[in-house]
Amino acid sequence: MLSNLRWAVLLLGILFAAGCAGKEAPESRTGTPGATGEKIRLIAFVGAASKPPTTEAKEAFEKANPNIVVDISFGGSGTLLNQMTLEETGDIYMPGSNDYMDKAEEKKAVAVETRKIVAYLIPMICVQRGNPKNIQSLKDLARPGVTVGLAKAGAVCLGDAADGILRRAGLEEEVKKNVITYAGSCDQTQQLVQLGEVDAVIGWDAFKHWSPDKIDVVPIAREHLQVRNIPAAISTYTEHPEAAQKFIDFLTSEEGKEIFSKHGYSVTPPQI
Amino acid sequence: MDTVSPHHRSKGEANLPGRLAGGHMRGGGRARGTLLVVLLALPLLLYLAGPIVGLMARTTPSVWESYVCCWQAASALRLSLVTASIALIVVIIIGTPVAYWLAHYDFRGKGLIDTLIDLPLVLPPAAAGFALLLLFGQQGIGSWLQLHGLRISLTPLAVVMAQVFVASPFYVKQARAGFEAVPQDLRLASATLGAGPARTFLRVTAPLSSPALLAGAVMTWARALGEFGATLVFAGAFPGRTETMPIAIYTTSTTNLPAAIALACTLVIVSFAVLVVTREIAGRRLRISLAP
Repeated sequence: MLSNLRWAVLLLGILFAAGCAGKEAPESRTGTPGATGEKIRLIAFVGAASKPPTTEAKEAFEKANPNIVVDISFGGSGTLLNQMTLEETGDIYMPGSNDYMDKAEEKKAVAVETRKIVAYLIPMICVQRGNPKNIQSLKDLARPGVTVGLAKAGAVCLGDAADGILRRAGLEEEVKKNVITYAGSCDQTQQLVQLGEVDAVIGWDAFKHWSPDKIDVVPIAREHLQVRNIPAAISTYTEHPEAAQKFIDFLTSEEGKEIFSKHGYSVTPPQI
Repeated sequence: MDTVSPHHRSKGEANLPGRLAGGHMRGGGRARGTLLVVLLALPLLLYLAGPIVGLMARTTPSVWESYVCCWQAASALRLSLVTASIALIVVIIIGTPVAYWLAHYDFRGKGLIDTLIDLPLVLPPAAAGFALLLLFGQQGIGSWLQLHGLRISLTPLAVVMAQVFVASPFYVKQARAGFEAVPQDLRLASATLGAGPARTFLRVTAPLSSPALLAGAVMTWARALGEFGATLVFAGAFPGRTETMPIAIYTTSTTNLPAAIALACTLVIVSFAVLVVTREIAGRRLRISLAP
């Protein structure tokens, strides 16, 4: 009986320790979304791939604006849009790419005039560190013996961009002979190279920053390039448009640009 | 005659068929039989253990320190453990009557109810999430609820509800099997001695089916802890409020794979510890209850 009790105490101890581990949360938030209280609470739906810079930007913003709290839900851009429109909630929408913002505009979920570009996504050839297969251009992707991965066109904007680039370069058919898999998302595309599954992918310039010890990048010739961007806009369901505008302005300010730049994103429009 | 002597039972061990078979065979045959069984069991065991060990091997202390000790990871772990435990309690409370009903009563439409219980098992979690969102969100009764000050979707309550939805079949099926296995003679005897149905259930049926109930509870808790798709859709992924550990692992993996692996290792270790300790507590109770 006593040893039984010991185990029960041990169990509670594990749960307690696991629960108390780490520093305390900077803010304790209670209440339901939309509740105001003393602070203005903004809800932002942000693409998962933008998590590190957006989290840092949010913390800097909250420090500078102590009466505003930004709650961010990170996830797949499509799922986030569905949640926003089904629940008719949210103040800011920042998908992982501009095509989802176009969809949001179609659904009248965002105010078109508030749309701003936070960062630019520049496609590049991403290869394994050290470039062992010596891939220097799009043409090299068609070389026999080179394994290539692409994002799925129609499902991922990176895939549409890659397809567009290959078509412009007239290499679509040859390169696709070397494609061994189509990834279902941007991060899966990145992981293909990161984990050594393929020799090269057409990915975003930010991939190199996410795994600098695994990925090198090779630029794509300007004449074939198709650039995308990470946009942010105020949702049509917002109850705090001024506060939401403040946050978007912060993201596109010099300080915001610096944060995104630090995390490997291009914040100035590329010269094409 | 080669029967298992009472001496074996009094040691408090459960009467496993293997032991009975071992008692019948002579020494060399028993050893060969055991070896064969172990060899055949190895593939699955290695297949389950291998990836887990590989996961742990990739996590260095420095990565663990920088990513797991931050407050977001700790809050995700705490949220997961708390919501899974609450979900378990809810499932036990609302699932036991269903299991009782299915175990002790025959009625038209019983097959339909049976299938209904199985549905969450075959429904893809994301689909379950959308189903919950459409019913309890603004498109369903959510708008009415919000007029009365209650918001369900995109809150921690939604996390628990999503977990209850996907994990309840495990407990209900196990509980039902446990109740059905209790010999009817014992329940009738209890009634004959004057105990009402409630007392019979509490003093006879439930204790005798406790191994099944416990197994169901453990599986339910584990399933609730690992729930991802339905939670993500119905509750969102707000760090500190609805971002459970599985969701945190996913969102972190998009930009930082080593950190995500470290988080996954943490979840594995904590879950393993809880399961082992629970088995120890329950195991003792089982061994005590089976002794003469």
